[in-house]
Amino acid sequence: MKQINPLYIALLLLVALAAVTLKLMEAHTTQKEALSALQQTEVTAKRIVALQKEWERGKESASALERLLRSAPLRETEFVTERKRNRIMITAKSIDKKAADYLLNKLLNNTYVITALEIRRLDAQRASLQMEVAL
Amino acid sequence: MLFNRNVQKVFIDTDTPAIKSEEMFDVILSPAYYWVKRQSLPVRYLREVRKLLPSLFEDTLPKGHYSYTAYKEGDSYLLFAYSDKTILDALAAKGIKPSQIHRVYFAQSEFSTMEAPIRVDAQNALSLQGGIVVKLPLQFTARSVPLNLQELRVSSHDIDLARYAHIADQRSIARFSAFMAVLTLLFAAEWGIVAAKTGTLERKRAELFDSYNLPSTAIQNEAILKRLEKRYAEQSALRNTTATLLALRLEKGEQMIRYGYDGSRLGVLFALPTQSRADAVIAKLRQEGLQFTHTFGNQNLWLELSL
Repeated sequence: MKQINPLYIALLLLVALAAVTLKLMEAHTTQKEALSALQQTEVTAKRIVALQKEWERGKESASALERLLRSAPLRETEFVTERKRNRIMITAKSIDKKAADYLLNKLLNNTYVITALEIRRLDAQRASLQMEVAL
Repeated sequence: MLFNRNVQKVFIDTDTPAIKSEEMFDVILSPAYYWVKRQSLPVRYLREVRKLLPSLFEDTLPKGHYSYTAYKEGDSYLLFAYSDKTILDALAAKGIKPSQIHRVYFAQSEFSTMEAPIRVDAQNALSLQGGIVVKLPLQFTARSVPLNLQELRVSSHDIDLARYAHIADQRSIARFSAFMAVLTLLFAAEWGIVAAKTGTLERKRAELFDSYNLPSTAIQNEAILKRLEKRYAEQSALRNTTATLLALRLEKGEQMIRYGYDGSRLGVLFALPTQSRADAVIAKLRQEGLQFTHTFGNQNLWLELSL
């Protein structure tokens, strides 16, 4: 028979519609995943930036620490500072109780990354201190 | 037609015996398989006639699904009605499969110029009665000539047989097809739009890290986040634990002698006079939620905490 049966065309269109519907559903799923990934990425990026601002301050942390060691309550204490590539070692052979309290208070209430801290009691009023702060 | 097979002409009547052949056929149908009317109509174009066909046969046909066709002959129109299913079933009964059908004609269009009745078998002949080809018993015809299909040149008035016309008529199928075509196009367009939006989202995601001055890959950033989260957890634990230790109320003569943190573990040494005081300090710290190991000797309590 010379003409294509219209029912075949209808069936072909039905198959095409099913295929396009399937592809459309897949595309919607992919879009949802892409949107979710974008939102997740934004959350990750913001979280990284927030954490970096607090815990990866680099030079800002170093200069803040230097200012702290030069501050009035710690002026009497003799600190030896040794700066390495990404950390600062601070040593005080003797620090009085008041200055030690002040220093610890400042260190622990700010976002200095303390990677080592050693305090030994020398007598009722004095102690030795060694600490390492990451930049 | 396919593979250049030979096409044989065959006349099919209700009395035609079954054919055993794999050839392709140009089928000429006996008047037994269609209804025909010759009519003059006040319309100019054939397409206008086609619209009128169902109503013109309305009172003639028994109940069922029919297809219609027409062509002009002289000043009048020849109008036809036929049942696709009946014809296909009849052809199948005669041993002609749908795949063997090349073209289908009505006897009306092929024998309308006959000069004498045509003998189609031992009992019947085709004859012209008022311009209409009819099948008559042989005894009603004066003289007849035998049917010679080899000499016959077929006309251009072949018909299309809709194989599933009994399921749905052509118009319904056309409407259904059009509906699905529109739906397919709409869905395809939406698919394109959604794919483009997805592409935009993925591009935005790639640009996002750049806008925050972060490395370009998610893996690198996950690693950075993991490192920072770990640092945050460790530093928070150090501060919370230290705060708990410094808040501990010691009695007169009791002291914290040493406090040491090496990056992962925290060691604290207390000078306490008795085991019972050591036990009290341990109990208090456990009550505060600290996890640690401890040793007591020489009036010294050593605590070791993993942060």
